[in-house]
Amino acid sequence: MVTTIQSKKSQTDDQSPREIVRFEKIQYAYRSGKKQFQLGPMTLGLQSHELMAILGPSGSGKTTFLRLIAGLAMPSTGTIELDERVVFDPSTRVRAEHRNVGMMFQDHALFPHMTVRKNIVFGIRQWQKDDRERRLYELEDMLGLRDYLDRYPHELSGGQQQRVALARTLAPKPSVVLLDEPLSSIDADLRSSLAQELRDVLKQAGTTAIWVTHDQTEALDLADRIIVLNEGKVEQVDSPWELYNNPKTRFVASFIGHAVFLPGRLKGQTILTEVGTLNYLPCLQDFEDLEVMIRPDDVKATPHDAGIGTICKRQFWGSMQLYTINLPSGQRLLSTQPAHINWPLGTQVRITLDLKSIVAFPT
Amino acid sequence: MRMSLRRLPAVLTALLMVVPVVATLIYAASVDASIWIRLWENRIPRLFFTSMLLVAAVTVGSIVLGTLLAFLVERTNLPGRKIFRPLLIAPLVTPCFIIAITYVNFFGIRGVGQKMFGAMGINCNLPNIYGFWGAVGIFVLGTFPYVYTIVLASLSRLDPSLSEAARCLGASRRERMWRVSLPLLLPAISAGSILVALYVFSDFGVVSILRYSTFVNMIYEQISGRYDFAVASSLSTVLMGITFILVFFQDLLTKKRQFSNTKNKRYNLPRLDLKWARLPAFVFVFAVLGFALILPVGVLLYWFVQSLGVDSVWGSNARELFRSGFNSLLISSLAATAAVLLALPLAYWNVRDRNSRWGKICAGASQLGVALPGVLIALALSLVLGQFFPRLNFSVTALFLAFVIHFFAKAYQMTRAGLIQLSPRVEEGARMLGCSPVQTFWLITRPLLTPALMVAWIFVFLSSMRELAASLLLRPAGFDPLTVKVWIAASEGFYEQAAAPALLIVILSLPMVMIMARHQGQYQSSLEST
Repeated sequence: MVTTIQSKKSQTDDQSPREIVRFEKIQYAYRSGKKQFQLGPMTLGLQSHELMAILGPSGSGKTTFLRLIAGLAMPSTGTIELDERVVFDPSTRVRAEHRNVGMMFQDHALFPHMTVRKNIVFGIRQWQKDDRERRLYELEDMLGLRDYLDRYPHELSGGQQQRVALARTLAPKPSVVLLDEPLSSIDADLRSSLAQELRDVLKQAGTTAIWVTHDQTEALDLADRIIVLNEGKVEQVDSPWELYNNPKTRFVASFIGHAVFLPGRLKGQTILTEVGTLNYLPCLQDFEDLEVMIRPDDVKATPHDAGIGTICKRQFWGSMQLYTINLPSGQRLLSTQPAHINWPLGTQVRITLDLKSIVAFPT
Repeated sequence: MRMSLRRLPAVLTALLMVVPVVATLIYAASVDASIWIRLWENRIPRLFFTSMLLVAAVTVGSIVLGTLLAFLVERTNLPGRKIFRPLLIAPLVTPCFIIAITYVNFFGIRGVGQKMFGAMGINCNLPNIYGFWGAVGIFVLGTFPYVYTIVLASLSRLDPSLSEAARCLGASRRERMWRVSLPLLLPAISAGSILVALYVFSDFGVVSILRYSTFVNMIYEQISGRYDFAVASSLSTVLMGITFILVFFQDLLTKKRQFSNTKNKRYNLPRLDLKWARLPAFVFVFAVLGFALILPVGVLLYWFVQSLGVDSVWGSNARELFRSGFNSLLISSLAATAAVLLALPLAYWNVRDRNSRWGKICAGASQLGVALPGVLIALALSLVLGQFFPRLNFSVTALFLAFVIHFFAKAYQMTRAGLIQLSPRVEEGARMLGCSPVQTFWLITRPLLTPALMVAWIFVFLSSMRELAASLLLRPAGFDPLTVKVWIAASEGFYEQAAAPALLIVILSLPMVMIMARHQGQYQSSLEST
């Protein structure tokens, strides 16, 4: 067992990307609260050396997805390959303890009866003593754990606990590291700095990591690629930039960032909307009625007595502001404006849309 | 350090609870040195050995049985686990000495067992129940539910992600059990086992019935047979020393491991599939229930049915039986009321005025009684009363005081646990809305605290109902509580006469068992915080 782990390590050092996780027609039934859900059928491949985020609302199957990879849950049908090795198919069931997958749990799941040192070496207890000490030294160096190796988990702060949990997960050099909402138990003001730290350590360790979160800023901020899950189905797998600018489904468009869906009607090469006509490269010709995704930064507004929009709400975010604009039909638009703009509520504004590319969905 | 007058009740309560310890120590100190030397050379080493051997064997047995049953019910696919889960607490309804009485008769010559097997056409000699192994067996059957309830509560709250984390780090099932689950259950196991150890150490009934000599029945013998208070108090001092050492060690064990493994639990681990062992496991659990619950209660019912035809039980003695039942109810409810009322000011002081050193000292002193066997409390009380209030000695008052002192510690722990859960902000809110402290207590604290006080009351009440040794030693003439009634009838071999009072005790004990089952969490936390 030990030797296989170490020989594997020499493979992971080679930098050419490989397919590290492969799902083939995976299906799994699960419960969230009182409701019954179905994950999949799902076919998916994830490249090595990437930081993937899995994003979705609660009950969308994010955690289940991780548990399938870890082997803590077994799908009903399909094939799972990890690092080009079949770990699940109708005749193979490699159990969690033999998968060489690291997992960081939501509340860190540090063993409360062991010191930090014992927690970290738990996964490498079968290594040679010298190797074990060396690995511990590397990890305490990388994560700055030296001062509290002999403390118990309950004596540590949330951020320290997180570092210990990460060290424990990385110790056996797993082929994939799974993180199940690792920041959910951390205070809001610490969260983003700890997220960056976590990302840096994962990148430095050169591992593939899959990070579950329901916090989209966290996902957009950190991930190389994001998998958006909804009700057990994969909605889209793409880079944060693509997800924001070219969402493939209406769900992704509404879930990532702020978006307003403006009703429109297709006429030839253009879409007619309440605030003007948009040029459109036809590919949705079958539909007449559309909804156009409008991001707050696409909406340009200027105060004008004859403008059709009325400011009805403003939220001050410090570096910028979000204005909500009411249109005569009752439809609302969102518009971001620089911090110095000061339009009182009720101001009439004229609106122009400045869309770089048009994303529209049939209604 | 200034202490206001309103702390007086709490201080007096603490002083009352210290009386037996101090009295025993003073009396033992005045005992002639030659008696001490004789005891140290002869009795004490032997009694120490026999007592400790019994305590150790029963504690180990109860830990193994209780933990195993909790595991089978909570973590495996044992058939009938939903029914077994509450039922396995039920053996607590029968006090151990009543279990012992039924066993002695069942396994005895011409006993119920032989009759039963004879009726089925089997002639056999049942094993000898007397002595060490019989005592161990009966104690284990009677006390494993203490371990079972506490371990079950802890097991069901265990954070499943810890086991899964160990799994992802490559730990096999066996490693997960030895390195993660069992260490996490250790506080619960040790809390349960100290209960068992103290119970066995202070028990008088079972060891007397099974003719196994320990400190407690030796002390009893010295007082009741020879009126030798010198030897009795010397032995008591040694006994007290040992129990304090036991409690001290348990304290160390739990203090060092103060961590909570009760985070918000979102899901359960899958149950272990017993596969071929499902049926044997079922038979095993059923057999435990059979020996611990069905057999003793069955024997009692058998005697009861027999007694219905015997005129001497129900004809001439029925009135006496009802009178002793009434006596029991009266004295137990008086003791319970007094214990709860005395616990309240002390608990209030200790919880609301957390930093008061005197509060801590008084609370600690009042807990000494938890480690003292009933025999010892009775002995000390009769010494003190004989010295200062001879007219009260061997009176209803003496028995009442013995019960209050004996069970005060539990009442205090439960009251305190209830009070801790009650945020002082609620009381402060009432004060801000114009209530005086007394009004606040009556309108806010009292109704919120009522459940905890009820639990404490019922616990003291039923413990008093079941108390044997102190009742035997201190009972005034003509005032026989139910336990004494059972004891006398059984020791003279009139089992039919023992049946009715024994069954009454069993029936009255049911609510206590239900409380233990429902409040196991609270019960445990109050145990760990002592």
